[in-house]
Amino acid sequence: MISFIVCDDNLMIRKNIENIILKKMMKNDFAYKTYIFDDYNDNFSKIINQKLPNKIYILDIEAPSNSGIDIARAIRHKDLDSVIIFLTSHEELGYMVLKSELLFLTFISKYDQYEENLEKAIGKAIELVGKKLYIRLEDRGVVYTIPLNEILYITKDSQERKTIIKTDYTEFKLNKTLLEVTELLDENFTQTHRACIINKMRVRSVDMKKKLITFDDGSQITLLSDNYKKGLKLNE
Amino acid sequence: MNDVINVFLSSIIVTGVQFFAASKIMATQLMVKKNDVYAVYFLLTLITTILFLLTDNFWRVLIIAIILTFSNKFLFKQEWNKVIITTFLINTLFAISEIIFAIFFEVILWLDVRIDGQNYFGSMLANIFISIVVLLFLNNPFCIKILRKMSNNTLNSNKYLFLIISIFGVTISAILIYGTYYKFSTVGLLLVVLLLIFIYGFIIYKLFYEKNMKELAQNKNNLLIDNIYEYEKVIEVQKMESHENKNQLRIIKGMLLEDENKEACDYISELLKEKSDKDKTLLERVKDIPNGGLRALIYSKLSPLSEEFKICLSISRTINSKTLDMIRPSLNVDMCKVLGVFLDNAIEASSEAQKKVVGVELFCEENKFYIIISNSFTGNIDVEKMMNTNYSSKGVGHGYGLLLAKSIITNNKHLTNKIKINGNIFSQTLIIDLNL
Repeated sequence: MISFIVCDDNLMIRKNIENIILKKMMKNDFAYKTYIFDDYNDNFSKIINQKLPNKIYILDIEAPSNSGIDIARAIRHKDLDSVIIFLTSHEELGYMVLKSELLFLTFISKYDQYEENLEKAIGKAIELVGKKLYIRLEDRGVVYTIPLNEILYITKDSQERKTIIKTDYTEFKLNKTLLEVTELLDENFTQTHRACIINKMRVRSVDMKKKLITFDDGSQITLLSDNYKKGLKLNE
Repeated sequence: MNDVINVFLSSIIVTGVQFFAASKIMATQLMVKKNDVYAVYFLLTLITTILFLLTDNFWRVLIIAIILTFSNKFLFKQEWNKVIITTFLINTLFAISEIIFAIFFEVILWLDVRIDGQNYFGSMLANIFISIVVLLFLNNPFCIKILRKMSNNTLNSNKYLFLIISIFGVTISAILIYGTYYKFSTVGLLLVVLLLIFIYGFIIYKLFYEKNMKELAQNKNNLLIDNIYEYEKVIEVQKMESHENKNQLRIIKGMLLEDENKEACDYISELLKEKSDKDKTLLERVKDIPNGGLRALIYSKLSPLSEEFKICLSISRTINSKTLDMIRPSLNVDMCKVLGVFLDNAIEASSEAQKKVVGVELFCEENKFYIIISNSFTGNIDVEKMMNTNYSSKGVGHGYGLLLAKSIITNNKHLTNKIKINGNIFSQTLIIDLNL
């Protein structure tokens, strides 16, 4: 069951969005329900707090009483996994920063092929909804929010006694145990060694003889032990 | 033979207490297998015993300290700076305990340390007494807090400098204590005094250097704050003039007959478009930030950035002039000083990244004013080092801005700082408590 929550102060746009949702959902078997609002009022706030399944928010950036950005912040206080799509009437500059903080899917301009773009965005949202997209952990006062698909592998540094989360662009060294981090992951992660968990979705190849795992960014690790080979169901 | 057993047993006790002290001060556990621990323990005990038996010289204290440093590094796997200073602190604790023992000797037992001390010095009884005093220090919460603070504060400093100071520190304390029990040559003592003068002079120099650097960072920020109110007036005037100029161009275009002056009309249209595009940039976007210093600060930091930089400026509707009116002038100044540092650091960090992104978000929530400064970054961020004093990725001699910011936040109960890392975006959130 997917819950679409739509908020826009323009009646025409609300109707268009409902039609796009109907059109998209007719092509698949998911049950769904749509909640429509014309403003970020008390009823909308109740919906944020309600435990509805698989929420997809389609939010107007500028509504009469509030902005979509502030609403997205309020949403993210409660959950990391609902999908947020913004509708905006002007170009949002430097949205990379907002995206990293508010974890929304995309901005869609109301005046530039928005129906087509919205349909694509809803399609993408349906694929993502219900899936765990991020891990969030706090370590020594710092809050880390890391997209799961950016993690290559997680390993343990026995010397410094820290867990290392290796991503495309950096390494995060945390005072956490491997088990504590493992509990936050999804089924795409598997253990290959006593001190290593890999993201199967990012693996390009595995050489069982050399015990070498190559990731899609070209990096390699040799943390593959015989005890964990059976759990590694990959095409070599 | 009795002497050998006596010294060996004393060494076992002292070595055990030294390792316990290291573990307590560094607040860490042993990082190696049990067999390795036993081997190191036995080796250090053996070396201590041999040195005690072979020589009465103060050099044995120094040699034992050096071996203890390497042992602690092997057993606890901490940074070299931390291990060196911890060993120095352990030696200092033992030196203090030894002095207490000597005073006890004189005052309670009514014995003369200089005459009778040689019989008791190095004995098992003395070492047990001294070890107990050390353990008492280590079990005192206030004392252990100070020791841990000293041990942690050295993480970013020059490790060679610390090595030299620690060696000298241990040597001098050993000489001074041994001098109580054994006679030293006058020349030897004069050399020690000379050494002390040099070390003292160096410490004074370093203290003044640090003070100077902090003052420079402070002055830079003070200058900025002094000028931002004037700068805000300039921005206001600039905005009005820009608006007025556009109007004038429109009027001129309206006066021209398009058929006869097509080239001029097209040129003016281009100018208007160009001006319109430019107005979408910072000057127009900062207008939503209320006056009060913040607008000028943010504009002054972001406007010089090249077009390579993507600037994200998000001003929530929850912010208005009343928000800043609620902030006392002194708090406003502190807030601007801290943000000035955060912005400088954000710009510096993102300039090294492939995608140069700097973000500023302002919003209010539950009677708190949030200012988030975000930036893209490259490489690894060592948050632990960043939390310590005057850390900088730019190397030694930098990091005083961050030190200033931390100092302001620590001393102002209305300011709190949170760090977040969201994927490849680093952000510092300054939270101002509006409940004044």
